[in-house]
Amino acid sequence: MLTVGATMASAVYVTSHLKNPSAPLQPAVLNASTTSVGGVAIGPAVRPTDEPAMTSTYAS
Amino acid sequence: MGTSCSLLAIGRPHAELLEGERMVRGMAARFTRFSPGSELSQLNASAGEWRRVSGDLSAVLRAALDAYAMSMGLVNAAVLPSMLAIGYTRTLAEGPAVATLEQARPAPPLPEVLEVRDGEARVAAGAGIDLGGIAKGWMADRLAQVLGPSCVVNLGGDLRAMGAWPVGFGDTTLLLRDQGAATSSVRQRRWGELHHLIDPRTGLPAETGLEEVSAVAAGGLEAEVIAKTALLLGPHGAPAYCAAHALAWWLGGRGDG
Repeated sequence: MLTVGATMASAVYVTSHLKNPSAPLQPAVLNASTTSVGGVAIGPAVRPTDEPAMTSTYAS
Repeated sequence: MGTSCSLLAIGRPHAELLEGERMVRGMAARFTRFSPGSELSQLNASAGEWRRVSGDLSAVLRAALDAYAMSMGLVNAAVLPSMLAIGYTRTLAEGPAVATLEQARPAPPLPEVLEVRDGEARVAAGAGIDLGGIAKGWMADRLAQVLGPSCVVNLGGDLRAMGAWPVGFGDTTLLLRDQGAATSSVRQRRWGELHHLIDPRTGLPAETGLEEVSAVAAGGLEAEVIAKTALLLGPHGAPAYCAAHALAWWLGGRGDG
């Protein structure tokens, strides 16, 4: 009886937590992790700052 | 190098920065194709034969092969014949030579014309290597490692920050932490209708719809490769490539300059 109960409870839990298989996971993750500041796309490993720039990247 | 460079550091003696400048000048003299006596020119001149190369040149040549793979062949150091065909035979300070565009050809796959093994390298007969921005990015990374923490090395826009540094990037300022940045552009080093950035698929100056790309990555060389690859991919392919490889990026087309 205990085994049957545990199995049914597991089935209900799993069913209720299934992800939507049609959800576009990767694009959502990419979009959520990139912000745009002044036309610059910025990922989570970099952040804009109000400090004056000490040097710059530029075309040469 | 035909460009301006800056070395910044916190809490370091001035002599260390002067030594850094000496290193940059020394490496640039070995990697330039504009001096017939440079190590790179001698390697190109002995095409078809194995030639002894320094550890530094060997490392840059291997970096060029890595860049080729990372860029799906778009960053190809074997574009030297096309560079010569468009008239970029000497420094632009001396002025371009007459272009012979009919001699421009798509660049061969780099691994087919460049081999590197312990202390030696071989360029295939008829081929030629131009290290260009690959050398700048590599040197920025190398010098930053030598100088150590709390420095930033900027070699003509290819830069590597050690520690946290506010760095101008397009119209904004980013705080880079142990990261690199670079810009690839067709707006500089141009004359008439021609410019220096060769599309290896055609052997001619690139016309992709993008004119300038800046990228942030883990290092200066990686940023250089990403920026140039994105520019060559053009406005349709660049966003996805940058999203997959860059930590931050800016794409500039006509009217963004």
